Amino acid sequence: MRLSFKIIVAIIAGIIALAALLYFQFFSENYFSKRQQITDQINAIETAEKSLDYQVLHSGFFLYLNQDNIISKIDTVEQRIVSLDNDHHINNEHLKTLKSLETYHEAFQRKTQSIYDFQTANSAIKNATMAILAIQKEAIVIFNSTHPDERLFLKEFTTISSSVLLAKNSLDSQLIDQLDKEIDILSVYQFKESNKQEISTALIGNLKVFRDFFPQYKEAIEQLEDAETEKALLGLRQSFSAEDHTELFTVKYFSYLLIALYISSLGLIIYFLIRSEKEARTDRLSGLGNRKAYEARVRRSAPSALFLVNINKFKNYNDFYGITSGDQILIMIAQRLITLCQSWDNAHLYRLGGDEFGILIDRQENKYLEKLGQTLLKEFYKEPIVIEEIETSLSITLAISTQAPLLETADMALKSIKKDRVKDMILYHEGLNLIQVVQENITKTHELRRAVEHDRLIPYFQPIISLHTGQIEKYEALARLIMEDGEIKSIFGYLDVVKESKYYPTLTRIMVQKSFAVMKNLPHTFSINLSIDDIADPETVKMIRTTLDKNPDIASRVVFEILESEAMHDYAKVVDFIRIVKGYGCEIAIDDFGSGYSNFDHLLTLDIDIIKIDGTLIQHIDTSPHAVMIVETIVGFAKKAGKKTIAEFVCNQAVFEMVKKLGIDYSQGYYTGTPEAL
Amino acid sequence: MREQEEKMLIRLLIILTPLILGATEPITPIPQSLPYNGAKAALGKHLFFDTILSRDQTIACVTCHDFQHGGADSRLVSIGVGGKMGRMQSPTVFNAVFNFTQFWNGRAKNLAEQAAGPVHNPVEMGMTTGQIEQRINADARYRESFHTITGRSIVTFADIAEMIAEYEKTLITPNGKFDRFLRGETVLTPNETQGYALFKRFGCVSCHNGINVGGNSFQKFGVIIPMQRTPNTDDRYALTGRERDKNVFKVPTLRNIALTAPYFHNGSAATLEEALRIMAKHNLGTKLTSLEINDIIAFLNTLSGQIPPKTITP
Repeated sequence: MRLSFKIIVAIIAGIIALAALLYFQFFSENYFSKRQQITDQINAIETAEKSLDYQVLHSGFFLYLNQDNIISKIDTVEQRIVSLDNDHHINNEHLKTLKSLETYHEAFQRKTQSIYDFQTANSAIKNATMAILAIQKEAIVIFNSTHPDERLFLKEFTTISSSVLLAKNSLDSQLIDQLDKEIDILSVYQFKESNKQEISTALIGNLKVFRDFFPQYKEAIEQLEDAETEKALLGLRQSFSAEDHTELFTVKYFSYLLIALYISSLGLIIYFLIRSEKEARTDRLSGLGNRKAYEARVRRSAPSALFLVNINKFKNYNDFYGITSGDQILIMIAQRLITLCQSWDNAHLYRLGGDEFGILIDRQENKYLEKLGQTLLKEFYKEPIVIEEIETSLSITLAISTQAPLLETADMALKSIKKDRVKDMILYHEGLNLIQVVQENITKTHELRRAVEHDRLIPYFQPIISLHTGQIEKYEALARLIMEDGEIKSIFGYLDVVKESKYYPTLTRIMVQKSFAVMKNLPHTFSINLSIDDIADPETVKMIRTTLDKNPDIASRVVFEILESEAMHDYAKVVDFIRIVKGYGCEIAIDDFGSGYSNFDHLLTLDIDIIKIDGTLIQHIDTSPHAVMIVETIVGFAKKAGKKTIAEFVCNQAVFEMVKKLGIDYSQGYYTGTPEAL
Repeated sequence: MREQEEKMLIRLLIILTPLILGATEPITPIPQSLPYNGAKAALGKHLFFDTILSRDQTIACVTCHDFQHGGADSRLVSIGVGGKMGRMQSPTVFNAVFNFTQFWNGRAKNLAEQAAGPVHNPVEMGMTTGQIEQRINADARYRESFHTITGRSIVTFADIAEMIAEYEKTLITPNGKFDRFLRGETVLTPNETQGYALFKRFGCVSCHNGINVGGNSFQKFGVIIPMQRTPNTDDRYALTGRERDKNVFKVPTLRNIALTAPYFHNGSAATLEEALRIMAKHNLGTKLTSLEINDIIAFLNTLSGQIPPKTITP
């Protein structure tokens, strides 16, 4: 997964979580404010209705009153109902509440009707009550209490007026039922005086008002007391509360969702982190843990042993079969190693470098480890590695170490046996002294660097004697280091270091420049060593050409010794170089011929003038018939091809005699002359 | 339990009503003005005076709500399109905004609802909703005026009613003598004072109270001595069908009562005196002396206020 993708996904997850959070905040805020608003509105309705009740009560209490107060309170309740009824939130989210509100509204409309009825009856009854009392007052003045009929009438009047007041004040219909009879009794009385008759008529009229309006009055009061609206309002509250509960659930679930979202986006980021870390620790090609994973493992659990598996000459396979096939090989080896160490107890396999695998294991006994290593190698070779249907002769080297730091020690051990390639397995132990070697290498690198920096690198010349004339005919330029204490040291001990350092081209150029400077004033032919790397380095080639251009008189005395102990990748460049320098009149020698890489074909195609026979063949030629045979072959070939031969490492008289006898043209070595400054 | 107690208390207080008079004056003055939308009211005024709303284009609102007669009709009953006779005596449009319901039997809850009544009534203006919308929409000036206010290109009947109702908010009659008296700006004459006292003592005020001196309850016409019920009258019974609602009407306002003869729902009283006698006899069971009548009429005259201005101030 690409990093940018991960970042985008993490950001999107973050944005979603944030958006959800904001929405939730908005939602809950909205919810609570809406809830409060609606509760407030319901409370307002209740308050308004209470206030209305008070006004109605008030109007019953007072004889006359501004009834606008009642009407305005009815209006207030109505307005609040309508306002709640029009509420957007109620209409969208609280349909049951809305229905309860309608129920309440209907109840309230009935209540309004009852209030209207109450108003009608109340006015009539209040006026009648007042009238009866006023008439009674008048009657006491007008009627003669000594007259039996009139006294009886007054008595009846008083009885009736008190029972009327009692009825009104007790809402007792029974008393009103008696009213009819009493009206009948009163109606019997007839008076001659018109004022008395008028009083009687007025009294009866008002009593009838009482009789007629009392049921309506009572009914209206009962209806007002019935608390239907109260129940409806309670129902409204309950409906809202129930629906609100549902909504609250939504809020709650939303918050859960939010937490889940938060956790999952956090999880996503953690997942990415772990994955990235895992990816960073995984070798893409083999799927094994890489160097980083290896280091983490070592840090974490300090395993006791490492098997370092190196594929021999893997670079060649890569070059030969191509990188794709090379990768194929690595995968196959990885697979094979996985299978092999599967049975090992708690073993962990890593790919530590291009062609190196490591197996960590928690065992320390050397014998056991060696046995394990042998088994590994044996099993490894049971089946050949086949690539592109070609059976390869691929081999591995195994280094085992129990000495911390595991990788460093195993690596040193591995290098120590890879050099001479005698063994294919080594167990690191202190006796190998490899750490010292490494230390020396570091020291040498420093010495070399300082020598180059302080111009303490000079050419020594070793004479090459013609075996025909016995005269010094040429010299080979050999690099020497002047140490800080003035000691002169051969470059030989530094060659490995030089090859690994960046000073290699510099060394070559210094040798070319200084050899030319020395030989300018001498008549001798001299040779300079070049490696394939030198020839492949355009800067070095350019420098050589410039030098040859500047010294045309010396050019014909120069021999370039090309070291052939390595594979010639840049064959075309070598051909080119030879053509160029031959143009200046230089000669070409092939160095260390017969050491293994040497190839007769090269001798012919590369237009070589001189063959320098490898010192390892020469130094034992007096005792080794095998060496004699090879040298004879080389000399025979050279003579036929018209090339000169030089024997190197001629170290004593026996060798000298032998090379002379074999018909070699020149001799070089400590016996015939040590390198020295000229 | 508390509710029960509360209820008991209410009940006690309601029934323990011996003769306690009103604690404060039962009549309140009319405010100088009510808040209203000028543009709507101006348009409403146009409509109010325009015969376009009647079928034969002879009748406008103002025809039966004559400003010269206290916003009411001087005729016994109103006469509509084609000379058709109505059933009811036109109540005044002045201060109608203060009535708790509209029409004699309170069948309209508010002014806008009321405005629709006469327009649709076949014996008044005789127009259907469709007809009136068509007519107003065909009139470019009206269409434009409505468009400015509503933002819609089509005028609806509800829009028309709304404008008229808005105009009626301006039709109030403040600063009558009695209102000024209530505000302490003037004093009443002895006759007027006596009339007001009688008005309260006889119990007129039981029904005629509040800002409109009426218009806030339904009461029976003929409480003590029943009145003959005019057949097909639009009383509460016509609305509710309850026997007790026969001859029950919205208590009419006594504002500008001196200007709005004839009186009662059927115009059966030609003069104030006659109306007072009928009310005293039938609703209060009493007989008024001429002196009492004079005093009460003197009081009623103080209820006449300023006739609404012709111009609308937005």
